[in-house]
Amino acid sequence: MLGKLMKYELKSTARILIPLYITLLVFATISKIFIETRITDKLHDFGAIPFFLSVFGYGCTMAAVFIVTFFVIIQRFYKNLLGDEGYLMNTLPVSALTNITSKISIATFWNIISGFVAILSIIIMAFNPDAFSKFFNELFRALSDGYSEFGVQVYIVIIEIIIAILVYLIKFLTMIYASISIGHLFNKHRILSSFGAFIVLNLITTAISSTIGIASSIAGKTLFDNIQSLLTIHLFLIFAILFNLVFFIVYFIITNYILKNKLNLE
Amino acid sequence: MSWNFNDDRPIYLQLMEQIQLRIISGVYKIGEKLPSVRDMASDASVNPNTMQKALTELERTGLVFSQRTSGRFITEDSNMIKDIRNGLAKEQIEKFLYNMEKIGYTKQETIQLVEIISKEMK
Amino acid sequence: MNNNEDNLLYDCAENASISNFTNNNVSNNPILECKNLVKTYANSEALKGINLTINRGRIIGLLGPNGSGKSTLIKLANGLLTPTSGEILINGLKPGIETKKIVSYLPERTYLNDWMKVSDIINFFKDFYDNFNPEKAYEMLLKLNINPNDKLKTMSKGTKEKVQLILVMSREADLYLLDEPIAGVDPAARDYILNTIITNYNENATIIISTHLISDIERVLDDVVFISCGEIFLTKSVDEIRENEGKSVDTLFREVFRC
Repeated sequence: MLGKLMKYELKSTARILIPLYITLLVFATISKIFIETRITDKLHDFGAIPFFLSVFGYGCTMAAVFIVTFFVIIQRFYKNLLGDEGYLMNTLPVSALTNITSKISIATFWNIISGFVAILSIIIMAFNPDAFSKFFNELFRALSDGYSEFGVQVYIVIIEIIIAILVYLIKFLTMIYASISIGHLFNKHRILSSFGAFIVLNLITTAISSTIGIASSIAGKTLFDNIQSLLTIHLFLIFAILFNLVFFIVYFIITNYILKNKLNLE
Repeated sequence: MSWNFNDDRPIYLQLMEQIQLRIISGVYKIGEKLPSVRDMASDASVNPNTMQKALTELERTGLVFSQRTSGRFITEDSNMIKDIRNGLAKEQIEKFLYNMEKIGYTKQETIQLVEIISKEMK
Repeated sequence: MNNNEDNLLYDCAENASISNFTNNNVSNNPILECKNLVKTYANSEALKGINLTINRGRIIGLLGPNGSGKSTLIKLANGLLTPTSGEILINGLKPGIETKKIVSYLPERTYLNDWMKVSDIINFFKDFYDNFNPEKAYEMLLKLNINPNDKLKTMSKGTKEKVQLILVMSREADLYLLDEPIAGVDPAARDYILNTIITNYNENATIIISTHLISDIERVLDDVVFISCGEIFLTKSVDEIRENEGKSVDTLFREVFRC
């Protein structure tokens, strides 16, 4: 069932997002072509216009990619589970848990993809064979330096960083879902209440994070002074992962509880 | 023939009467197999349970009988049907005569009027 | 004609008739039971302790004025709401994944995704419901002249409602909950819909229709439940009402709920 939900979730979102991502890459390519062929120089004044247009288009589309991805993620949850479509989705023989999981997994997927597409477009725009080979050479050298000094741990740290980013991402998504769900509890001004809930949850999260952050840095000051082994970085990352994981679980539980027990579709 | 129902009597009773009418007038022929309950209910736009009830009641009168695996059939007894037809006709005539009396015609006058008008109708 | 005689008649019927008692494949337990079911919202009591037993093989009308608790009862039956206290059981089970498999629900509003084509939605239902019958759906679409390749976006409200009804009736469910199935539909389609309900009837399933348009569907109903101000006012068969009161359900309703 989860797979089927994810399939439909993907279908519903892909029709908006994929064209957008492709547009971004197209603008990047066009702009790059303009840059490389130096059309501006050749066509004097008029040549500049298409170039500026394509760069402008690129800029707008880049902003759109992030805004629209974010917007689609919110709207999918709000409209599909708590709007009219909720009459269908919540009477399917699936649990609220499965519904939420399908939304989170596809939302995470698109977040990652949008990141990749953005980076790809930048690479296209800035592509320069010399600079690139120089960049990669530097990168490999840094990695092998790190490897010779710290061993396999370098790669472990890299993996931990990736996991930490992912966990932060899903925490953020569940915080949004929890806010929308809390907003649903109110009969009037649901959207406003969702925003309010989001602000409140954000405040709570930040407050707790900062408190623990400050406390642990005071406690671990001596550790931080000594970066002989990567242990401190490990600890820091693992701690961040677990910390965000806990928040993720809490927000998920809140969302699931509300969807399961406090649903009130109009 | 269409199905007509009024509001104040149970539908199964009205169904019984109208099925009876169809049998008598030959819409459903003697000895013929009746359509399934579901089809008849669909045709009359009524609840299948109601149609079932009407047919079961008709079975009690003997106008209709059912065979275990084959379904429901109309009786072969043409005398019974004739009797029922005559009974209905009698009812109609009695009602008619009574109504004509209320308007002010005697039975004799009514019969003469019927002859004149039926000739005109041809 | 009292109920004991009815049962006897059903028992004696020879063919595989519409009966709750002779067919051994049919389960006999009630399809819907409410025991002291209460639902309160922040500022109102929608249901004040409902007790109701509904058996299989019946077509039931759930009738009441606006705000009487009809929608609340239906939403509780399909798991969209949870009871404040008391119980509601579908086939002996609390509303959940298992009951959603055997309940087919038609809400009053359009709940379908606009960008999908009709054929997409049929595949959707086929994916999630084992007891969905696509052939039946396509047949009904054909009869109503609806092109399966059309996008829902391009359809009128009435056509969308017909599509929804077709989807709901193409499921071989144990309990159908229809909330105002004929309200926004033209009279010809109305007849077709009532006809679909009649022909889809099977002795193992129950159809509950919640509506204001009583006179149109009265002939199709076995029993009616009058609900008002969160309480069950009356549960009777249509025949009983006509025999005992000498009037149609529609007339009785207007009298009882006179403003």
